[in-house]
Amino acid sequence: METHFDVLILGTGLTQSITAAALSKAGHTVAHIDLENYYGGDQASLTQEELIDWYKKRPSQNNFISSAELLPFSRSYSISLAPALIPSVGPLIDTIVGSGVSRYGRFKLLDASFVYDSSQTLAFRRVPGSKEDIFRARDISLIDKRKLMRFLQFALSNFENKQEIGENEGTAFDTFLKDKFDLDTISREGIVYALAHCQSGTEPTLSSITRLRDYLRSAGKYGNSPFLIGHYGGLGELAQGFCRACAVNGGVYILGHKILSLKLPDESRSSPAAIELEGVPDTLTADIVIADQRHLLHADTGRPISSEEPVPQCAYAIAILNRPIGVPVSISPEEETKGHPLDTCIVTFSPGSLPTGASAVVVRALQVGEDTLSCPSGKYILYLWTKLLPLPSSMNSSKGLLQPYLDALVQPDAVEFSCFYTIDDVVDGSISGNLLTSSRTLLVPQLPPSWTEMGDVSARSAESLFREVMRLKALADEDEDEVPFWPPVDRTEEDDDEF
Amino acid sequence: MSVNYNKNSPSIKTRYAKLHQKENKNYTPETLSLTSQLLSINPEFYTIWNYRRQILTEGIFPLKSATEVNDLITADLNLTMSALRQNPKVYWVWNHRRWCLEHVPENPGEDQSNWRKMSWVKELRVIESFLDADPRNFHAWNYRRYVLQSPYVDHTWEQELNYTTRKIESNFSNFSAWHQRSKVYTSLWERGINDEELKSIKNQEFNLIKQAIYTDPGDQSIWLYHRWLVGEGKDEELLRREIEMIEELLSIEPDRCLDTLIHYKTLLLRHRYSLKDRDECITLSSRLRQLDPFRDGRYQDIANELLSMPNN
Repeated sequence: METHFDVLILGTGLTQSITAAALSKAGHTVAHIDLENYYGGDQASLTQEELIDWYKKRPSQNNFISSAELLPFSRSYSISLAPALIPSVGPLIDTIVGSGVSRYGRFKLLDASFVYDSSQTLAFRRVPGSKEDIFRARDISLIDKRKLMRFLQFALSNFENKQEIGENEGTAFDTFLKDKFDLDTISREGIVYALAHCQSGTEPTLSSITRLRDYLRSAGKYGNSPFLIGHYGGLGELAQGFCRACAVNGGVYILGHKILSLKLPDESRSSPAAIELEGVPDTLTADIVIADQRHLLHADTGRPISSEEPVPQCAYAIAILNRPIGVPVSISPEEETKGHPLDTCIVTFSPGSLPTGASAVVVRALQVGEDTLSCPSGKYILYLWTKLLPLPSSMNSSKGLLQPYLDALVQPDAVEFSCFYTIDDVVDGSISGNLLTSSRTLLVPQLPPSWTEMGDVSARSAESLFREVMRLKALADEDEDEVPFWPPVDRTEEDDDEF
Repeated sequence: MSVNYNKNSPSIKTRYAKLHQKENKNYTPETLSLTSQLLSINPEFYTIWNYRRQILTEGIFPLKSATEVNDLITADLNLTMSALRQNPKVYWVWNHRRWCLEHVPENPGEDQSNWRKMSWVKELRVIESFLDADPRNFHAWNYRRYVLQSPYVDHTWEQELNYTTRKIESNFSNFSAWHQRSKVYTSLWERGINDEELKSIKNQEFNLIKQAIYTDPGDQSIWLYHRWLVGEGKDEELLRREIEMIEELLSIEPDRCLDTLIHYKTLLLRHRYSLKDRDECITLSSRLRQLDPFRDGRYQDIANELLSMPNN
């Protein structure tokens, strides 16, 4: 086996995987390592058993799991650690198509988006996000339809220089909607939380409406919803697809081996990185290292790691259901009885909308069903997440926070399995100060928790990493040529099916 | 593939010259093949479609068995299909397709399947795929009406109404879909309907169109359908109600839909004249002259017509 590589990549998360595929296609030799024996890292798609193993490795103070017993057909579940909604227009979809990885995966559109409203008989209000939705809605008055449509037309336009924006770039988005477009509370709630995907109504107007415009422009490209969801657990499957693309172009993959030692590269090319893996006889060397925090921390680099306690950032829940959540199936009550349940939908709980829930944060729920091939027929996977307020950890139990929301969505007997956990943010200083000694080690940034932004941020980070590697290479080789992120897809490329 | 419209291009010229043998009534497989080649270069050359039909009917079909004729018809249907994929808005191609359907032979005794029924039923699916690709292609809608009137096609008016509803819901800026809706209702009402039912259906439609008007008052197609619904305005109560609806819209959308408002108010004036109402209309038309100076002459004409209205 070849032991020297241009680039050593640690972790098969989505960002690293995209970068690996791009570098490989651009002609660089890549060694891609992951401590786990599955692809995808923090974005992996796991079977129920793999999820339980994953869960057991995490600190258990604020976490909870209903049971470690496997359900029937447990291997038919593709549970995503990062269920993402991919905007139909954006850097990730461009990357998926431009790289040719679209051939490996399939996608479906989000079926519907709801806001929780305890005053409604069915407790959920469908969020209209397009002219079609507004036209068909039965629960919006004519005047409100007009105002909503007027706002959406504005949001789709080149509003940057328009008078309504004017001095209001930093104004709270909710206030802007009220003052400039005379929108009522219900319309504003839908726009702020379910269309623009803000964390709060105080987010500044310009950034919120810009994000909203991106999503509105995504709607209609493949269908009525702006968002795609990948089959088999989404981002994890995509990461795997990019790894496959990398392997097809010569990338070497080693999964599930402990790192015995890792020496990061010095500034000069004469002192490359070196990594020893358990069970692998040769020491692998590389000129450049791309790695995420987890792999750098794991590897024994001989440098002190920060002793500060990790700060929990977000709380998550995953539940396996034997029936769908009780959202109305169709827009009109007459169609209600005829329709079959919606397979894939999101429910947004705005702050304070659930009396037994949190008053200051948004909680989001995503249900996926068998149409996404993530679970057996008749079952559903429900994901919940919310950002945590900076409170003492005893007050931040993920179960305590999210259980009321789970209860609002389904009856307890519908839940066959559930687990609650938090994701911590490792304090950045512990990595960048101590471990990174040269510009030849590139740190992969953590992805934001937002389902709608995660994928695009990952694609952009991957492109930056790719360009940085090319820049370092160009300096070294004195090569001036501009290399594209994705060359035109080679139609005759044979897939290596033994991968 | 770009279409060569130039009759003087060498490839078309030579082939056309050969075809000029039609004066000699040369209806052979060779000339048929020449028409195929010409039509694949330029499917808009209607003379050639005409000639092709002559060749088939007079030179080729008489010599063939029913099965062979059916195969030839199928081949021509495929030919039109590839032409339509390039450009689904060519009259002559759709016409040729109609001709093909009308010339499907009766299946001979040994074959139990009904060729004619099969081809017409398939045609409904074909036209649906064209309307899925472009729901606003009036050629396709015309053709759909042609297919629906065939005795071989079972399709109720309710099904057609639902079809238009689906198309309208996905994008109500579709004049053809609304037009089709009006055609379904017209043929239904011609068969006989009592006043109660008519009123109830019309009210339903007014509700539907009102949703569209408030969602996007700038859309042309919905106003055209609204005008069709109002008709001559003989029902004064209905007319007043719709005028009120527009005036409510005007209160939140100033200066919109004025032209339509004047139109309906004028209809009302024709049935029940009042000076006050007339002067209101003239004021509206002056406002329009300010807002839309490009059409000043038209609004002036409207004002003149109002002024000359007889006092009843």
